[in-house]
Formats: sequence, structure tokens, C-alpha cells
Amino acid sequence: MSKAAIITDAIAYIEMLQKNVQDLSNQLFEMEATCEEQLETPMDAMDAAEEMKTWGIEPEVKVTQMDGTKLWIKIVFEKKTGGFTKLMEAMSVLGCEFTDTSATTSRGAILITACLMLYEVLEPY
Amino acid sequence: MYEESDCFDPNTMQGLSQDGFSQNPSFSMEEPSYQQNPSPESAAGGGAAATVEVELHQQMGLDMANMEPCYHINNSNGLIDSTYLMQEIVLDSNHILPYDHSNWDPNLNHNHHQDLNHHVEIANGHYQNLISNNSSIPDLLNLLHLPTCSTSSVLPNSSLSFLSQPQKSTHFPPSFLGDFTLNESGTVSNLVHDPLFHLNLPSRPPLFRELFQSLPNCSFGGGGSGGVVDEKDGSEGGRQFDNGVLQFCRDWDMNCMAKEGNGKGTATKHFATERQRREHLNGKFTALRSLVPNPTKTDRASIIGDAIEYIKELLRTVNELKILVEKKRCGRDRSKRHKTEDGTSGDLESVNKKPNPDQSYNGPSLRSAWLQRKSKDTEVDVRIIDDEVTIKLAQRKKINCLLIVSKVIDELQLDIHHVTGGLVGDNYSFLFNSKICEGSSVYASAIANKLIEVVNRQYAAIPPSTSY
Repeated sequence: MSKAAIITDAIAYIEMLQKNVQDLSNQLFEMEATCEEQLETPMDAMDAAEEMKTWGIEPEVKVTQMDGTKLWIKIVFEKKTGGFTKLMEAMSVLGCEFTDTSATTSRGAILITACLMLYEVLEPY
Repeated sequence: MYEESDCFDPNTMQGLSQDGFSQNPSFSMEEPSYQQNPSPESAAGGGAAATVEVELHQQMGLDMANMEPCYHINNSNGLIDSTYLMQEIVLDSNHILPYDHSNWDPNLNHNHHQDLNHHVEIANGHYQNLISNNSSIPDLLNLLHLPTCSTSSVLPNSSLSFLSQPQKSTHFPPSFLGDFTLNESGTVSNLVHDPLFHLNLPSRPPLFRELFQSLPNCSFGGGGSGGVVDEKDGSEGGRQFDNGVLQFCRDWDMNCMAKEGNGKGTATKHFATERQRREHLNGKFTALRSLVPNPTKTDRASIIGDAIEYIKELLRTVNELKILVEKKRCGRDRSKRHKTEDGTSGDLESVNKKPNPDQSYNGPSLRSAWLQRKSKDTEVDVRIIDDEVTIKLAQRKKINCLLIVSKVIDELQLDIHHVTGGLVGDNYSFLFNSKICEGSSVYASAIANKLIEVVNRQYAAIPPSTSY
């Protein structure tokens, strides 16, 4: 095949695939819209708490100050959907920013270790 | 029928001038073969411009990778035209000889004669002399072992040329397929090319036609693309053209011929100049580039590479979406079934309650998707396997988007299990491992696009002065 023909075919194929993707997403979207609510599975929350108890993990919070405005923080708490985000929001409200973060989920609990940078001076409490 | 022989039979060449056919049994020469219509033939055609089919047999010793174009010689009114068309030949015995269509069209232009001549010189210095001189045709014919073709007097200025694929390593004769030019009505003219050099028989048009017809991919009506043939295998009688790559291309004489179709249905692009052809090709490259979402560089190779990656990505996305739709539909059907069948709903209920609509789908198809999106400041890499989503995010250090991104991920109904990241040099880099919540049918491109959009919005919102 000639180069021009290959390029032409490639263009046509890509457009066709894009159209397919678009159609499928629309279809999926419609199905989602019209679909009734599936049975929710709120099992996760219950399981998480139970698991934590099973493994003997206790929620905890540990904070260490590193230097002037930096804190090191370690948190263990029960894993909930969206829990991480809530924590982040709370911290940002307090004026902290996560510089380096690590969050791991295991056995129903989530462990967060992070460096926090304070950009507001907090009243120690 | 035809046998290859290593000997060149000069006697057959003599007959060329008479009946327009030349049998060239010998292959083993190292020099390119040159096929030319004897002038008497065309002269006999009267005023009709006769085209000479010239087959330029690439020199064995030439580096095949150099893609020497074939020369096509137009012979009009008894004069050997100086227009040559050199066909590019990719040599690989087991590969299809590419039919470079693009080389054909504009090359008939006389203006390109110089270029072509130059090419000829590159290929074979002595061709120049041969071509330009009518009287040297017999000499040429002696030297070259290409079968010659005769042009029918009926034939208009259309001309055909073939691609021959010379053997790199062996003396295997490349077989040329004689193509038949079409006259106006589209019927095959008497132009016959002897595809088989090794033929010791005097070529006869009917014989050639037979050969031609027996060619796998060639049609008598002037097939556009020749058959791809295994050129190593030449000793079979009836499959001579299986040796070597038979590619013949129809040559449109832009200057002479009107826009007559070649009868093959290929969209004929008629370019008046080589430049237009180049511009057209460049336009295509640009169009291709505009289709891919992450164009990196503007050179042709990168465009093609990006296009390849994008096509693969699109295929993955299509598969992913199909699986999702199936899942959704089955899940919905199942729940409907569950509602209507109360009696036997025991099992269904448990199935429904269990968050395992995936189970029935994991066997045949494991949902997987992977794509990347880049914007000016952000790079997103989303991978989905089954119900786990891995998101890698790298953003230029301006603002810490961790909070925003986490929110978005939650909105997409992804349950974050693992987050890691921080400031790395100039960038914030994060890795999110999350699980798709039940009932959600997000797909990879939706995730990627949403993330990019959110981050970009954030960049736009925050004034660039704040940075940590």
C-alpha cells in the first residue's frame, strides 16, 4: 500500500473508533440514567470496623513536629469510602497542606502518614 | 511451462523488434534490466502515442533498501520518451513489494525527467545513455534481460510499469508481470509483457494473458496492485509469477491522459506536480496528528507512532465500554428479573445482593483499560483492571491538587484505597489506587478527562503567584 493510502486508512479508522467510543459512552450514559438504583452494598463500612477489631488495629493519631512549619503526622482510622477526602478537607480547613503523603488501606483500616506544611500559624491546642 | 534459465538467449531479443515481444530468459545478470518498446512498433502505430513499458530491473548489487524507483519510459511517437518512472522497490524476498502509488502519478511529468534521470544515473549510470538513444535499445536489450512489452497501436498514452523485485541474494529471476494497459474502453490492449524472463518461448499475447490471468492478485483489466508473491519459489511452471513480487502499477500519464479511470476503482488522485502530491501527503499527516489527543512532536515518525498508540488505546476503550454496557444490561435485566420472579427469586436475590456482577464476566473478559492524557501542566495515566483503578498524576508544581483530585475521585465513585505522592523536584506526583464502587460504570477515558479538566481549572483559578 502506498503511504498516502495507509495514512488515509489510518485517519478513517481512528475516526470510526472515536465514533464507536462516543456511541458506546452515550449508550452507557443513557443506561445509567434510566437504570434503577442497584442494590447498594454498604457492606464496606461494616466490614471495615469489624476487620479492624479482628486484627486489633486501633485508630490512632500521632503528630511530630519536624521543623518550623512542618509536621509529621500519622493517622490510623477506620476505612470508609471517601474517608481520605474528608480528612484532606479537614486538614486544609485547618491550614495544613499535605506535602508528602502516603495512605495505605489494609485490614479495614487506613493508615496515613504525611508531612504537613502549615501555611497558617495554628494556635496550639 | 516456463522455466528459468540462467542463460540469456540473445536470439529472443531479436524478435522483439518485430512483434513487440521480447523474451528474456536470463535472470542472472547483475545489472538492471531494461525493457523498452522498440520504436518500430510505436512507429507502426502511427500517430498514436505509444507508450513503452519499461521495466527497470534493479541491479542485484544495488542496495535494495535504497528504494530505487522504477523507471517508466514513455514512448511517444516513436521516440523514447525521457520520462521515467522509477518505482520504489523494497526488497525482501518474503515481503510484499510495496506499490508506491504516490510515486506514479506525478512522475510522468516531463518536468521530472531530470530527477528521474538523476535517479537512473544513481541506479545505473549507463542507463542514461541507453534510454536517451533509440539506437541503443537493442544494445540495452542485450544487456538487460527484462522482457519487453509492446504497445498496442490502439493503446493511448497510458502506460504501465511494473515493479520488479530483484533478488538480493540469489540469481532468482524476478518475474515481471506484464501488465496490460487499458485503452479508453478499459479493455486490455494487446500490450503484453512477458513476465517471465526465463521464458524461452517466444512470447505470445495469449500466453501472457494466461499467465497474467493466473496471477493470483492480478486482474486482466489492468490490476492495480500486483500480487504478492514469494519470489524465492520460482521453479514451478505455472506459478512463475509467484517468484518475485509482482507489482504493477498503473501509470497515469497525467499530461497525456485525461482523467480516465483505471477501471480498478482506486480513487485516482491526479496531481499536476510533485509538489502538490507532497503537499497532499503532508496535509494527511497533519490531519492524522490533529486526531490524536497527545501529539508530541511534529515529525512524521512521531505522528505515526502517536497514531499507533492512539489506535491501540481506542481499541482498548471500545472493548472496555462494550464490557461495561454488557454488564450494565445484564445487571439491569437481572434486577428486573428479580423483581418479577418472586417465587424463585431466592437465588437471584442473593446474587443481586452480592456485589459480584463482575463474576459472570470475569471469565471470558477481564475488563482492562489503559490510557494517558497530557495537558500543558498535567499528565494523567489511568489503568483499569477489573474493578481496580490506578491513577497516576503528575502536575507541575504550582498548587497542590491532592485535595481537589481526591474529591473528584470520590465523585467518580471510586473508593480510594491507597494514595502516595508528594513533591518530586518540580512536580507533584501522585499515585492513587482505588476500587470502583458497585454500580458505578466509569470508564477510563471519563476518569482521565475529568481529572485533566479539574486540574486545569484549578490552575486557571489559582493565580500563579502562590506557590510553595
